[in-house]
Amino acid sequence: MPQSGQEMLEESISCCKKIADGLGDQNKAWETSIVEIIEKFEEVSDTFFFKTMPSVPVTRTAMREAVSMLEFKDAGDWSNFEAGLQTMISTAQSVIEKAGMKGTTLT
Amino acid sequence: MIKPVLITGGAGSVGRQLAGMLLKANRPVRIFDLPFMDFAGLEGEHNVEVIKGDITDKGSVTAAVSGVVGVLHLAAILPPKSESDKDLTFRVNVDGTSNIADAIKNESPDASLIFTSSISTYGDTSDEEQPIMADHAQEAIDVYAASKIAGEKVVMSSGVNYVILRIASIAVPEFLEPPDPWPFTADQRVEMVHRDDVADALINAVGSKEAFGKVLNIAGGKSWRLTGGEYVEDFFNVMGAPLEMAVYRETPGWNDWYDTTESQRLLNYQNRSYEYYSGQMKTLVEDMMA
Repeated sequence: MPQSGQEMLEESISCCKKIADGLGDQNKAWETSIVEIIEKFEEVSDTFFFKTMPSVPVTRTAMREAVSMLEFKDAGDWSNFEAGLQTMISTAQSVIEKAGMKGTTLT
Repeated sequence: MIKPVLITGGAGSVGRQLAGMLLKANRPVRIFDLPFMDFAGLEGEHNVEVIKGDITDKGSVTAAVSGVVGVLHLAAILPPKSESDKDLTFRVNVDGTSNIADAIKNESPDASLIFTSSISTYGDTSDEEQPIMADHAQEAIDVYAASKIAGEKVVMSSGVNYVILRIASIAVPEFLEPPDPWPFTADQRVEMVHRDDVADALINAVGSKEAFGKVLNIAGGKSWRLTGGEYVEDFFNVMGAPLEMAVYRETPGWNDWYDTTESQRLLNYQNRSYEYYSGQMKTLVEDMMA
């Protein structure tokens, strides 16, 4: 099981890629949302935040939600998938905002 | 009527903090910053006057300085941008300072000019005896420090009431990305200063006639005297991040331990110990984990 924020973010990305695969056949807008999450996660994945303890809670949530979404997709449970997607977008937004740390001020 | 304190670069985070402190003490402030800056929370507020302009433009500087009691001169090009554009850095940090001093002489001759310089102007002092005194020779090892040395000369020869504050590296009690590399070696002496202590020093300097004409080191005091490695280890421990990630300078940078006896006597700003700062950081991380 992934333990660090970095590992859980990578697991989230991996899950999202599986979710996105072929999702456009079911709903193009859903696929677009998932692809956007993957792109944003990959963009911020190298930031210091994911090496720290405070990244653990939010990436754990993101990973659990991605795993659930993949299960909904594999089961064809599209009503739960749609509800879960909104939650996941909100969590992804939180991950991205927290990763956008400002630099240390030095004179 | 109470005259306002002008804050150049006042729309930035430090400027806003200073404005808030002055307003809390019922002192009017005038904010001067570049037109594209975000002035939300400043414009239209009681006791706050906003002037949008550029310190390299004498006309807008004259308007900003007219009728003020003091100038907290923060506007500057900072690293890393300073290192990639020397011309711009000198235009803003030196010529801009000259414009401010000229405007004070012409518009508000009784006003004080508080110039924010840097302990980086001492260069590498790692082989010398500590603490570093304010009369220590200056030797820039980067463009920013060179511009601050030139700016100090402008201020000292201007004939205005000045206080030059050579400020140490500022420790900000927020969750921030660490510098890469850290601007010191692991073995080097490092004395940072709490962000809020710097704000206290700046505010207190405006009305401190005894400080006029002085050059003062602004650093955290004895509790902040660490090695680079000790500071970074504490930082990574609080963040729960692997220490192996920390990257230090290969050669000593411009951090050291500083003599702050006179600055503390005159400005009474060392109010937050390193232990206090560490506690703030721990609380911050705990809140994020909750």
